[in-house]
Amino acid sequence: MASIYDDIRSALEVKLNSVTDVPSIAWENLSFSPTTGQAYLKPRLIPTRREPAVRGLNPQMYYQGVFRIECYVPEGNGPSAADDLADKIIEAFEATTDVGSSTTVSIRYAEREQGELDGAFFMIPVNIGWYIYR
Amino acid sequence: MQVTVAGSFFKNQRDRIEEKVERALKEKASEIVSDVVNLSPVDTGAFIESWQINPRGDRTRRSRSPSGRPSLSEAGKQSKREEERTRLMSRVESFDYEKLTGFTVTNTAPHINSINQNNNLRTGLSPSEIKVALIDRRR
Repeated sequence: MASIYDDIRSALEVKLNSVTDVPSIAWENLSFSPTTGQAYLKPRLIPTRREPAVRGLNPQMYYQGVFRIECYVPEGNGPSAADDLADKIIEAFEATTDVGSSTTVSIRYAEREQGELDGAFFMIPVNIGWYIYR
Repeated sequence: MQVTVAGSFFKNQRDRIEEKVERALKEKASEIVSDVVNLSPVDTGAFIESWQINPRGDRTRRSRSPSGRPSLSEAGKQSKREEERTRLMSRVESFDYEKLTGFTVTNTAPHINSINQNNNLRTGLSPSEIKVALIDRRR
């Protein structure tokens, strides 16, 4: 039986992959070499909570975490490309929506942080808060 | 007619509330210490040693450099975590909770950016991911 985290990751990654016009994606734990001058996304699954949802034997479990997507665009061209990318992702993962088919992951919030320079790129992180009961 | 309610009438309730607030603050601070210690990557130990928890307004910072320090063994990494947990917890214990208006957790390790850019951390999360996890757990 697959780990629940595989199912959660899959639901979130499939959703990200279906967003139209997103650049290359540096999937977690797969080799990826960013090309200077080309935008890319770097998603990371960060589980933050696993706890019983109710008391008693064999309780249903509550899982919570963050799907962090770092939006990298070439440096020196202003922030608008990264802003647009971050907006697109926030729209795709809007709070109170659900993603996934066989496993439904609920979105708690979708928000971004301020951008910062990172080598040859300008990066804006988008944090997607999620939860699931199982 | 006059009814006077003296301050002493509320003293017990006030003391009990203050005790509860103190306990809640201490629990929250301990929880955060536990999170930062458990989530930190450990190699030489410099990053985890750079955590500081302060009463709000206290700007003391810690910054430990990894240069010239060897990578720790697996057992050494575990004992480094325990050592830092003890240090941070004794800091939490030392707070004057009657005057406390909040607390801050900081890490000013000089190599924080290079850890953030390291895609092959062997233990723990990157500093930016730790920040996200700390915030998410307390929303």
